[in-house]
Amino acid sequence: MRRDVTALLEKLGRGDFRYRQFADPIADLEPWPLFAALLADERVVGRVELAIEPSIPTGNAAFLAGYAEADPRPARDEPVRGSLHAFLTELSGDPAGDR
Amino acid sequence: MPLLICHAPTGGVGTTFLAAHLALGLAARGHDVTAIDFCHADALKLFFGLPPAQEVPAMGGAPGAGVIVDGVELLSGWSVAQNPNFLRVLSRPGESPFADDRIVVADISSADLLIKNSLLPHAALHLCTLMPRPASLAALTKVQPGTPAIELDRTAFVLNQADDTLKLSRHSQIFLRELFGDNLIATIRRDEAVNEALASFKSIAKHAPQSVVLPELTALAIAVEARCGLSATVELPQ
Repeated sequence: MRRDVTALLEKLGRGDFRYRQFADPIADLEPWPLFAALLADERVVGRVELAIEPSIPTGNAAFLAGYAEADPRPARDEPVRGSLHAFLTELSGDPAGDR
Repeated sequence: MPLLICHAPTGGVGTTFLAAHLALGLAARGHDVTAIDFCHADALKLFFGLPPAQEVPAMGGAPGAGVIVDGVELLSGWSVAQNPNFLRVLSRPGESPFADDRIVVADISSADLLIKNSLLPHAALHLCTLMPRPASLAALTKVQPGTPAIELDRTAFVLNQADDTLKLSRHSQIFLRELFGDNLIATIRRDEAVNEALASFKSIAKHAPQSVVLPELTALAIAVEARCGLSATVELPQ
């Protein structure tokens, strides 16, 4: 239990309270355009060719694939966006991502 | 002993706070630590409980001339960093102006890219502070020009002022964890006790011993130790 929670419960005299910390499930993450923009930015994730190397910590593929679909970049970047999207979709195993 | 530089691409994210507590945390674990304030604002000393009027000796003086607080030697690096000779020394490969028997924690202003880029080749680790705010996250594009943020092998990220009650903050934590993996070495929650301690010229431990940030700051020091291959010389309860 977190130290501040322990102190609060002691202060309240509620030793009978149970404490549980809930993590935000990734599935509930909202598609913030800022996150999508960062995942499409070479200065953050590198070039697409580099980003598909296994050594790059891509993390949860489904999470990233969701953001790839929300890629806000202009149409002139379409080819790059397409390959990142395809890569992430493939990782996520989501056939709907081929749309 | 390594040079650890604390610099973020945006100001106001708590880099000075983390630099001070990294220095204090490493000193508490038995390391010899010098903290150098390279910022014009001269605010690092506040996190050591010193008032604004307190003079902090400039680096380059006699060894041990700095102010010692809780085991950390505190020096000012601002005026020295304005000296071209200092930058010239830093530009020579393998030549460092820092004593090699101490850990040096350098606090660098976000705008001072010259000193940051001059110190970086000598650093064992660059600690980049982020906040769960759009401007800070957007600046991930500016961490180190020429190298994507996820490929920076000598940079570790710390999320500061995380707040579990705020949606964007929670989502930012998840996003950064997924993006950087183990390179996000610590998350420090927001606690007004930090500001209250500063305003009282007291340490957080004295002002608010139950503050949630204290164990998180200890965890940061431990993570930096591990990252730099250091081992604690003092065993403390974590």
